[in-house]
Amino acid sequence: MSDTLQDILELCIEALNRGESIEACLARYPQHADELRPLLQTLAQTYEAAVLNVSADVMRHGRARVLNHAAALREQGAAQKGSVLSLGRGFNKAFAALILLLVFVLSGTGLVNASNGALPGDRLYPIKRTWENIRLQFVFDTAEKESLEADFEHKRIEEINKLVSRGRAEEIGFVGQVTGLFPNRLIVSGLNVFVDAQTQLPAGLALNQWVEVIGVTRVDGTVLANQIRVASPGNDNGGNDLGPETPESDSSSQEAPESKTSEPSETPEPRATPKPESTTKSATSQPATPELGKTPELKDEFKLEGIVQQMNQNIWTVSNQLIFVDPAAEINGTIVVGASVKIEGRVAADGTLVATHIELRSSPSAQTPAPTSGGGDDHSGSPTDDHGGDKTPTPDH
Amino acid sequence: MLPTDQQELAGLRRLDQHVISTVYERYFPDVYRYVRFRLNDELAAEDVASAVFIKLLDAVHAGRPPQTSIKAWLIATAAHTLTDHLRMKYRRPQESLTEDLPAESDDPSADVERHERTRTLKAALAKLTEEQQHVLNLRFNEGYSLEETAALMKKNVNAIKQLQFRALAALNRTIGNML
Repeated sequence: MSDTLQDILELCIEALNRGESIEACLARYPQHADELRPLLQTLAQTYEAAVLNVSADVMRHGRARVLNHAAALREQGAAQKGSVLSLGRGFNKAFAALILLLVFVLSGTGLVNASNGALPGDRLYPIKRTWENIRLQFVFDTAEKESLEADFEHKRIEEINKLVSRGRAEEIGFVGQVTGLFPNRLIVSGLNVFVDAQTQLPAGLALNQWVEVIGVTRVDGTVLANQIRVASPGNDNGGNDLGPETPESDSSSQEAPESKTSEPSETPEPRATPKPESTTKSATSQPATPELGKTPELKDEFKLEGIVQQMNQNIWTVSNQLIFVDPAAEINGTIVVGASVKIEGRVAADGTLVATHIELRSSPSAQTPAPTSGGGDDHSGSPTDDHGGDKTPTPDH
Repeated sequence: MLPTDQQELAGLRRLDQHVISTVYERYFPDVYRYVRFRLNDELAAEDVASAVFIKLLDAVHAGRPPQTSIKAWLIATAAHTLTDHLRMKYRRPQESLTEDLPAESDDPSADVERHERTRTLKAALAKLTEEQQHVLNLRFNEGYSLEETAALMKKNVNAIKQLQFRALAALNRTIGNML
């Protein structure tokens, strides 16, 4: 009897969930109506007390707390790893290289090969970087060593582009040339690097300087610098240490980035856009590149023509410029990565370029493939890309 | 365990911010609703629900990840954490600063009545056994099916039918005694 009643209660629960009334359900089981009625009324009261919505504030507060805890765990892990690394630094380099070489020979090339595609934050990434260091140790020809170092620096940039395109938050470090200075960001070897009040900046940071950037990629597809220092023989670590985890690592045997001026053609230099208006600026006049931290000479509007290198929700990279696409922006045509576009918009108070009108000039298939020096497995805007028609934003007057 | 769970656990082990955010977005509403159903204090519910996710990170980081499913682990941990919270609250009672207030609508008197009914129900609910509260929460607050509830409580479907029947009967009696 009681088993039957439990089954009937479940049938009534299902009926109520479908929108039937209590009375309709009771009418179907009149012999059990007296027993079922109080239970179903209590059930209705329980439904009334159910928590339906979780407010955005509650979600936000909880998320911040959880992510802060994750950051603390990460720091804890990094500190432990750091202590292990600092022990390692005490060993003779040649001895360490010999041990690693032995491990490599014994374990075969599988692990090193597997680490080739590793990105900062991946388990195999330290193996990738260690193997690069070993390779550098065993190259004795200066020109060959410089070429290898340049390759590794390009790899760092490609890795960061991949992290950014995948929206991964990781600690990163790289060496590059400053090609743009804005109030809240720099362009270093084609990467948009944001700075905030906590970022440690060197005095007299200027265009074309080689710098070492230590920071993080963020889930919103941007790079935030924790520290930027001028890369010079005195403090450069060659751009091939283990990145942010070992910023103070020994660098005496590494080449200074200044020695890599043999590759300026691969560094994306902003080019002034010839404008039909009489207000055209010369190529030597860099648009919107005031000294970092100072209020720029603001222009109300800008125009930009170039290739879309990245599309991360409303943050796009066009001709190495970070563009915030206004949610209300008028977009003509189907824009994809690789498309040539014409953008109009306004310059925000902090120098941010906000697109309000985007027009497709030509789709990727209609263009001549751009030569790249990388593996070409993504379109994440490698700084070595030469898109021919890329133009820097031109503030309107 | 589902392949997505395994991938997410791997991401949680790496403390991958993207994976942590994904897991949080997917499961936090369920965990919060579960906790909030039994706590009148919004801030306390937020604390307890966040603590559940912090425990998940700690467990995965310490090499003690969920063995069945992330959702089942979170709900079970939410139940335990909530019990611990309530035990501490009874030992050191504090005045809630954010006790539920009737929602504002066009009919204030109906709001007050509904608010009173909810208060009475939650007070009665607190007098039930842990298992009875758990089954009512999962089925009628979270909206899980009979089968899902059985899986989460590691019981068979008939046992859940019996448990929910007894829980509703007990709740009805308790409300009757309070009026």
